[in-house]
Amino acid sequence: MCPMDVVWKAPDIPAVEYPSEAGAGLCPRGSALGELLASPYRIRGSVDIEAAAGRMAGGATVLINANLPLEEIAAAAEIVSAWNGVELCCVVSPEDEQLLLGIEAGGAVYLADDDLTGCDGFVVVGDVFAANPRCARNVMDALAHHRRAPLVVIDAGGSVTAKFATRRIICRPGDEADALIGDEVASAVEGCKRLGVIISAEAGRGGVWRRVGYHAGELAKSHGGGVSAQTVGANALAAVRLNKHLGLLSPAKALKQDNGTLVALGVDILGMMGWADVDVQVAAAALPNRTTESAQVVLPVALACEISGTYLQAGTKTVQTSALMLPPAGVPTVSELLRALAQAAGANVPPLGGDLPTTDRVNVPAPDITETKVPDGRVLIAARQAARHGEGSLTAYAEWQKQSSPLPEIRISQADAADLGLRDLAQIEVETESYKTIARLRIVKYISPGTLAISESYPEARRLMPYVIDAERDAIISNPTAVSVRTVEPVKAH
Amino acid sequence: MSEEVVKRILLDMDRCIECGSCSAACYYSHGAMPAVQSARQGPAMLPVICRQCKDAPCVAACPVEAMIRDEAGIVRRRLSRCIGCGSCARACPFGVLPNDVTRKQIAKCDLCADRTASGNGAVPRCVAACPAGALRFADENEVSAGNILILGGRTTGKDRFKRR
Repeated sequence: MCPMDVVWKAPDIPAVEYPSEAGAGLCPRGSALGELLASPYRIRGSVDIEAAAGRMAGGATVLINANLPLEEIAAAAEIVSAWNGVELCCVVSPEDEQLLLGIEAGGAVYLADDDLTGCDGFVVVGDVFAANPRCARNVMDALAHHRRAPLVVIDAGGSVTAKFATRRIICRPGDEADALIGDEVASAVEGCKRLGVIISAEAGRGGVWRRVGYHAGELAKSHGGGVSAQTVGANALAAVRLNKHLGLLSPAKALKQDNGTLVALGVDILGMMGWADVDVQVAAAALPNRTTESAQVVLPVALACEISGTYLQAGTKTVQTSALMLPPAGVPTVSELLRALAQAAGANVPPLGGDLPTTDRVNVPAPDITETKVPDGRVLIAARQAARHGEGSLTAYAEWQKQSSPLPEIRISQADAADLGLRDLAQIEVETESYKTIARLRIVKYISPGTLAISESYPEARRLMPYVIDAERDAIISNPTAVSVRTVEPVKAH
Repeated sequence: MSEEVVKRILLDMDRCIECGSCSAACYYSHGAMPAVQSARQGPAMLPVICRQCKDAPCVAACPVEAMIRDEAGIVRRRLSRCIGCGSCARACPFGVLPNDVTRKQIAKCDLCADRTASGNGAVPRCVAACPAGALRFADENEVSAGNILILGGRTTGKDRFKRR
């Protein structure tokens, strides 16, 4: 968890303050929180419980965000268990869910960020420094201590992390698992006695992440080390485990089945999935997003940082966090909202128990081999970004983010740029079968020709490669998509 | 009055992961006038921060004495005097002063004097926010003890991204 304080610049203007302790650090997403807490766009107003409960009368599937404290998730599960016809799903980023299930199946030890400092070699998959900038310090410290330690980076997307690699394995999208068990990695980490395998699961690689997690665990175990998953939500692992332990719906089942009304509490499901045509009747959010735009009933809800509680870290450790500040008056938490909805619907909701549910490792079978279908020609995949969070529905309201990166960045190789006649930093139109949008071009060195990688923290970027439900494997995946790009002239102000 | 600052902000280019944390911290802490900018350095986007020159050309160039060296030796800008003429930005040999054409004022790093003046180990916000440990707030002794090669306020090896 990132350490931060809130100070008051004026009676109603909060700002984030940065602790001076060595090694603290706070990424731009954390810096933006001070502004988001007091955003003028905050959804407030009366909480129309009756209207929302009325739409859930014929049964409902409730989606909640995985980036909530354990207490909130457990309370939501308890409320829904007493409410007939309603089912609950804790939504984790689809890639993170598959990755974590793979690691659970592999039985590897989880490494916290601090544990990385003790490693004598690293295998990295994806742009982990963008996913969690704080883990970079621990990796750098370890490399400073073990001067000959290998840093092997497997990446299809031309990431910043690849610049620091002692060995780069530039693979096709979806080939990450094969690269991980390949000879090149094995020879590079041969002498390591405590290997850290760090993974950031990015979209557009098909169904590869479960295998990546599994093989990462095998590789780490064979070298006395562990695995560090850099997930989008701080409590993603807890959510994956609770979905199993508490018998909650998996995201794939929740979105596939027809169980009456779809209700999204604190999760921008349409922005996350890149969908436009799913009927979400009731949506609760702190700030307007794609889901609230299309919902019939919109409710206010607290941000995760406005709730104190417990987070699961590195498989077994729990961390207590305190709320940065209280939610605005009249704005409920997810569990408070769900309780009010259940009571309005006539459910006999019991008082909450005090114990936290178990978050022990879950039993998951070893994954099947899946092949990612890569279309001919140039393909588009997604890439993490340090400045924006998740699907970008919150950080889209942050001023620094709006000014420094108003458009999604799309990475391309020098060869492709020359072939298409595109120059660095050009404004381009990106088009796939499903959508087209404007992006800023960035020519990078470490990306294979034929692959383009776009920042995933923009809802419009996600619509370029919308997720599909793989009911057979109970997974939600996004595949590499055929893409075309062309230069557009920016509109000039007169 | 001190001649120059004791501690400066140094960038270890071997560690910078281009996350923009320093720039965001400066933006949110200094009224949306960030003194920490990003600039392209070869294939990377690295932070560009005032080097607190010993003979600061920006101070000499300022026609209204908005740019001064204060008691602690920090070259800083007095916002109420700044007329946004851009003389300091043009005088800066390193191009680190951004000329805000909208507000007609110059953003200038003051080493977060509100935090660091007390001296109790506090560091500027960009240094505190840096998650990779690339930014340091160090004096000359720390630099020589740490075997850091300084090139114009940056630490560098021969290859920008090759680990030493």
